[in-house]
Amino acid sequence: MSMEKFTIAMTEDTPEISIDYEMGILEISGSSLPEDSVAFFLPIQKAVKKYIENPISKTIINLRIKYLNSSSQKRILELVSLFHNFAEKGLNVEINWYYSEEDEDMHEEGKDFARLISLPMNIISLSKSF
Amino acid sequence: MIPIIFALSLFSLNHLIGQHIPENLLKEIEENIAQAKNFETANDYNQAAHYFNNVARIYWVNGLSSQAIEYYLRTIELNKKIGNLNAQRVIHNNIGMIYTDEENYPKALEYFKESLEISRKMNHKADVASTLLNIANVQSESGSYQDAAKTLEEANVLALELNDEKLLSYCYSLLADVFEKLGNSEKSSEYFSRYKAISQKIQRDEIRKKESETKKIVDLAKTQVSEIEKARKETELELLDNQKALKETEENLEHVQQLTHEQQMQIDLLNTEKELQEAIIRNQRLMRNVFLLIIAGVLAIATMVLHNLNQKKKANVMLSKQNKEIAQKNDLIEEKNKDLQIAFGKIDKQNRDITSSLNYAQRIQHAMLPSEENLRKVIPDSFILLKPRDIVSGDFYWFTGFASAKIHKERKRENFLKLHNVCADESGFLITAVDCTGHGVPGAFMSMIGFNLLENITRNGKVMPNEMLNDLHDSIRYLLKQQSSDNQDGMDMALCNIKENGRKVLFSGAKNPLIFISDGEINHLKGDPVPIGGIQIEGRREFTLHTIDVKKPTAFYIYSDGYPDQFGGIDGRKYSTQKFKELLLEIYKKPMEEQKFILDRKITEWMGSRRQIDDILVIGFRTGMEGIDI
Repeated sequence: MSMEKFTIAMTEDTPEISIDYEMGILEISGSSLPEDSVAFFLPIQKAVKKYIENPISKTIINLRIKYLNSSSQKRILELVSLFHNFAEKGLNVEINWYYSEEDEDMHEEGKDFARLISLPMNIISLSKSF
Repeated sequence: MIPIIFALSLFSLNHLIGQHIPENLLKEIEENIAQAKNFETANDYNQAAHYFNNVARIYWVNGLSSQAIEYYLRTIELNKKIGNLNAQRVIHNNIGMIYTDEENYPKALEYFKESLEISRKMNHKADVASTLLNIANVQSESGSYQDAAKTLEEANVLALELNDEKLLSYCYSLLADVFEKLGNSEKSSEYFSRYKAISQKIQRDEIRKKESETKKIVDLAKTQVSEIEKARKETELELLDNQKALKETEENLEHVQQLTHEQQMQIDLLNTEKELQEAIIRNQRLMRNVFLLIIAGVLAIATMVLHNLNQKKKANVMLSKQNKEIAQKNDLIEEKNKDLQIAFGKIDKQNRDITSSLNYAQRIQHAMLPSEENLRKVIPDSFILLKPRDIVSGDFYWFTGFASAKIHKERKRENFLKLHNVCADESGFLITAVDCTGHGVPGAFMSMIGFNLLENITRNGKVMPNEMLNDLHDSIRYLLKQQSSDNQDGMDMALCNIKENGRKVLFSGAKNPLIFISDGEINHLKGDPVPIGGIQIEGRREFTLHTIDVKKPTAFYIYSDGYPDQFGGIDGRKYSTQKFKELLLEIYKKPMEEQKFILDRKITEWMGSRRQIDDILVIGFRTGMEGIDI
């Protein structure tokens, strides 16, 4: 119980990350354009792996992304791919891709993202900019 | 007055007492809860809130945070019912402090912000400022130094407006702290010296206040002494009166002795003697009391004077200690400044070295890329707009004409690549806009790989865009060993093969589209949604081939996402594909060279003072009319 929550605050170049171990919620919000995406996402990947060692029955992944450079997209793809065998284990994963209604590009990005993962993903439009 | 100071004293109390609640307090809590509930049922929400507030406060003081919050929340509900805004503000603030103490900063922030909202609604500037300081404190604690700085700057304006020195001193000390964390030592030391100035002034004022208080106490003591003196004089007078009365009684006695019966005289005499005795005792008691009163008064005065002297001494010691600390801190800052200067020198040199190295790398990259002039030799109405974010680019373009050996010879295509392993009548012009993973140096590395692979694939006789992309994908996965490692790098691209003197365009895209416009009609042909290289969940990556028959003059555009994704405008939005398409539709009829100029100007304006977030590449060409020989 020492680690109920893992959080990284948002900066100009990197998104806010939060992993709630108790509730089983992984959230990524904001813009992601770090110079070294591997270095930025490494601790997050570790934290997610730690969650996967001891997951709860339903996991929710919320992606609220404003901008994503191509290497960050690959890193988030890797994060989501860590959950690929959850269904086999009888665990539930819900993935939500939120985009602002007026941001057609992030809508398209979401659709492309959905095609690159083996898990179902909800693409949800938000009427307000988030 | 200032919640922070209040809060700090409570925090230390918490640590002392811990989680243990004494029996009598438990009883007090129970009584308060019972009272609160009674008033609640009687719909007297004001009183109910008062008692719940007591309960919360007791829990808080005794370090039971979650219970304290629970009762504060109930108190908030009741105060909402009676519309007591000020109470809501104070309690939100209290909850914020509890969460700050618990180091639950998101929650602390939530409640402080609510408190702030209410303070603003009430238009009470001092509360707004002190709540802002609480917020800044939390932001700083949780590492959001930029936010903290912004909050503090607002608080600073208010504190200046209010001319509240304590708020100002706290504000400056936080600002100094935050800017130090942000690495802005210049601002940090500026705020620190302001903090120093104002805190010294506050200390001076406090000493002055204490001195005047001491004087008041001494004056009071003097008055008391003179009152006691007066009382003593009055008692002496009374004593004299009594002695006089005694004398009279003695005279009376003598008189009565003479006048009355002997026995009666004796009885009277006895009685009078008794009275006399009692009067003497009364006098003695009075004397003793007066004496005790004087001693007590003198002792009290002495204690007060000593206490005040002691306080003053303590204050002086503290002040000199603080002054010493400030001096030490100043030295430290100076030392730090020196270190910073040295570090800055090092960084500056490193920066210059890196920049020189990058400039050289840029020459290599430029040498590799074909020139726009060579493109115009084949397609006269065309442009290439490449704006790298850094010195070297992760976006690149590549084009080449190609022809079978037969056509090469017959139609004199000297500048075209001669291919021996294609059909005898094969000829065309390949052009692509490529966006590699990353920008700067890593992007440039990828661009070198991509550029070479494209050249090799073509020389091997593959000229259909879809087949070229399939090959490129496999080659990248092979070269970067992506089957066995977790490397994910690759590229997004749009590739065209222009044939039949520009009357036919073949297109395949990896994530990137082809836009073409003719007769005011814009077409957006999406590529496949998958990139070149990286995760592959399908068995084999097969790209789609699109064929466009070009019957009339048509403007074609391929590009990387750098242009539409650029943040800018008034509110920092993305330029967006939508806007990009609208712009192209507006200018597509103009000569391509002029379009390049407009596109460049528009995106620079959009960016304003913001930085470029990625490399930008747009390629435009017009075919479908006479004058193109491919």
